Amino acid sequence: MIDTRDEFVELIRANARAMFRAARSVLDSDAQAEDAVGEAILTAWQKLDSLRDPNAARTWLVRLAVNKAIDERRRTSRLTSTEELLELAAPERAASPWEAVCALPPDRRTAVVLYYYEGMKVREIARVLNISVGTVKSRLARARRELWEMLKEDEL
Amino acid sequence: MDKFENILFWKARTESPVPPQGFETRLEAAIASARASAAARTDGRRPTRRTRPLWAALAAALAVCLISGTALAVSPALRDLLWGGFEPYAQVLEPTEKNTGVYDGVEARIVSALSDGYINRIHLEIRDLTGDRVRQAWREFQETGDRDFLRGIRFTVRAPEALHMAVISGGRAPEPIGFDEETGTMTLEAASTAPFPPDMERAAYVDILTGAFGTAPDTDPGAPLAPPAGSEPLGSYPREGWHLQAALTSIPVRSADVGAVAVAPKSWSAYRIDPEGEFMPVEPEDPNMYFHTVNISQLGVTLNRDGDPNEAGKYLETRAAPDELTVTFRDGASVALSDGLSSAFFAGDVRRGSESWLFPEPLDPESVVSVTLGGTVIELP
Repeated sequence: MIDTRDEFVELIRANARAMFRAARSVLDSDAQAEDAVGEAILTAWQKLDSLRDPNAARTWLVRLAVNKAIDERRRTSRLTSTEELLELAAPERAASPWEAVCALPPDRRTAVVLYYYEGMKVREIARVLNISVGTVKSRLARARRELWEMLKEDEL
Repeated sequence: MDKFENILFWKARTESPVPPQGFETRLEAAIASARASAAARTDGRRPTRRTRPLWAALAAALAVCLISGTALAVSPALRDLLWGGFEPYAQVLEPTEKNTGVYDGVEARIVSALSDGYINRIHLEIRDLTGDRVRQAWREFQETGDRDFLRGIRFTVRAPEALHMAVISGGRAPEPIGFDEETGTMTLEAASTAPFPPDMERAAYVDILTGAFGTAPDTDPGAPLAPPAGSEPLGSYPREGWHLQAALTSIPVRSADVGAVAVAPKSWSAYRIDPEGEFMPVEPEDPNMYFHTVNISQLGVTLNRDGDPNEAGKYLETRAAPDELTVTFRDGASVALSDGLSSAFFAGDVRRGSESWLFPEPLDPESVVSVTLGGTVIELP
């Protein structure tokens, strides 16, 4: 158990960047991702007692951030304008791996960020995203092929 | 691990994206806000609404689209599944007397029912109106895999015209796929197959039987329940009990005629009945299963076969298809699907059989180039 709120604050500070990367993998702007992280911190603070294993804090915090980001995406996705859709279209070539990752569809983007950038295992990712292990593997496999296509000439 | 995989891991470690300028400052502000909110709750004050930074306020200025008038909030897991994959076919069903009911304080609702004519998939949401049983059941499921809370819930697809016909359906019992902490709503997913003729009207049914939601654990599971107050039992079938019912939303299916492709079954058995009434084993004249149509939708793959090569009605026989079906896509990727569902329909001289495999998530039917079953590759035209 986490004994003090101060300990919890340190956990948040240690994992804030991971929460931001995970939220950013779902959303299309830094600003929206930061807002999702803020919402997740508030929820985490209110539900701190439900975290039974401090060693699971990182997965728990990342999951909260992903859920808040998904909620935010659902609230705003129906109002995406045509101009925004053109900006969101995947480039044929990416200047960097992160740019290529950001160009992936949201479901594959999130799986890639959690797997490669956060170092989570497939089973952990399935718990965070509330999907099956098979679905995680499927998304990662398809994402790898798309990343290969975008990066093969520039970066590798 | 291949070279590209290694490169991705190395790039992720060495070129991790940097949060925008000022992130650390705003993080400390968010932590301080959370502290203040907690302090307000502790001393009984009404918690102050967290002030959202300017860039978030701009996003909040967009109109929020809400699903209004619903008895249950649609959980984020379900929204992501439906809108992320099946849109525009998926529609969140409005609550009605037929698709929503309350038993022993637990509210259940069919929120989505999709069908490609062979595979049927529903999403069901449940929440406890009087306590915390659903939340506890979700935690038990996550920690131990225990599904006892869902013991008496059953999903089938039925057709009124098929009432007096022989139908064998495959199915997967309702499985928890998500839980919304804010509303206390558990989302369940279930699937079934039923090879009714395409023009036969059908509907989705969820049966609530004794033992559902942890009630009456000592009674015989499967016994009919008294319907909730104010509801009427749906009596179109010779079956008592309480049902939820929903019309199925059709989604497009790609059908390909592949001729008669022979596939060796996983197992085969056949018997004839001698004049003394004894069951005598029979050697197969032709042990193969013959598939003539491949049907693919975003729900999965179904292979159709009609009858069997041995004289219909002469033997009692069963053939089990191989467990694993591999689907290959145009870009070379492939996905292995396991645990297919068998179904059959017998009416007079009509004998239809099918084997179905479910996709783990919506996949594009048009990009499938072949399926492989029992070592036999079936190329699609």
